[in-house]
Amino acid sequence: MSLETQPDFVADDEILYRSIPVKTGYDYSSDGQLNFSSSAFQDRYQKPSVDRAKLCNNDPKHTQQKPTDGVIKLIVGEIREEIVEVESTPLRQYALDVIPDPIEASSLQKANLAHALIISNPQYHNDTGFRKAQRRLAYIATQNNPSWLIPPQE
Amino acid sequence: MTFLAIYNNVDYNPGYNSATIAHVRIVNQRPTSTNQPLLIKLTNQTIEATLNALEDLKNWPDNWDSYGSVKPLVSAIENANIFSQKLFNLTSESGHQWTPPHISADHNGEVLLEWWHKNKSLALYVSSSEINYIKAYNANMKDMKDGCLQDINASTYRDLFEWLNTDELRNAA
Repeated sequence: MSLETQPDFVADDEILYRSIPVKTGYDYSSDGQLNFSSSAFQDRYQKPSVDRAKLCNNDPKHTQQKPTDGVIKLIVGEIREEIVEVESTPLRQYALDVIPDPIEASSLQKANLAHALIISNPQYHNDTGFRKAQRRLAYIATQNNPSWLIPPQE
Repeated sequence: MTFLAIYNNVDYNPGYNSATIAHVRIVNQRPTSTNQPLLIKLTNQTIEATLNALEDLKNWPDNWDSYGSVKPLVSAIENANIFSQKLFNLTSESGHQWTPPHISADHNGEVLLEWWHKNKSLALYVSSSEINYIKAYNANMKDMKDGCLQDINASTYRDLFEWLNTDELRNAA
């Protein structure tokens, strides 16, 4: 399938998969509650990678980065839901979005047509903006994942 | 898991509750038989596990998370070590129990310390020169509070940790 035939919009009801590094990406409260760390959503370009479930045969194994990593799910609409007003006059807002980012095969990496990015629109203007987005994703992940799609191997 | 090992001058007897203590030391393993010293779980009372976890950050490679993050900076780790010991002392002085943070790093090498209490979370990003924090009690970014600390003292400790440990659901400020 060529990249041109891929959908160019990620729907609100789509499920996304994210690989979570073993131990560092999560912790458990004393009552056994699974909490996701902000570090579960790191990205050096401040655009965390996810895979669209429907484009990888709903197989979370497709997303797992290392054999020991866990995999969780996120729902697109929940990520997009909040619009943050930074300034009222003039009105300046930003929101998180999920955009398709299919990867073609190259000498450096395998093809991944399910690949997508969680971005800020407009871009974060400092580290704090991205850190709050990571915190938001961690809360959403904690709400949506009382258990793992693929548990990490500690 | 950390335990406090209490050795006495007589053979250990599980039914003997008032042994004279000869010496005490920290060990990192569970008892393997009934003939071992009395062991008390200490996870929430010592800082040893925290300092060990910080030291371990020095062994993390670049791209430790598979998403391109750089390895934690030694200067940030050392600052986090000093900060954690101050925090531990402030916790002891305030009469609270030490809760070890979840320790990881961010994409540019700063040390990330995190705590959760019910729906609240506190994230501290420690660089070589300062500490930035984010307090949150839900997924809404507009409700999150952020700030920067040059150091930790009794006042900033109260602002961060008494907020975290109260059951008040709102009031992130």
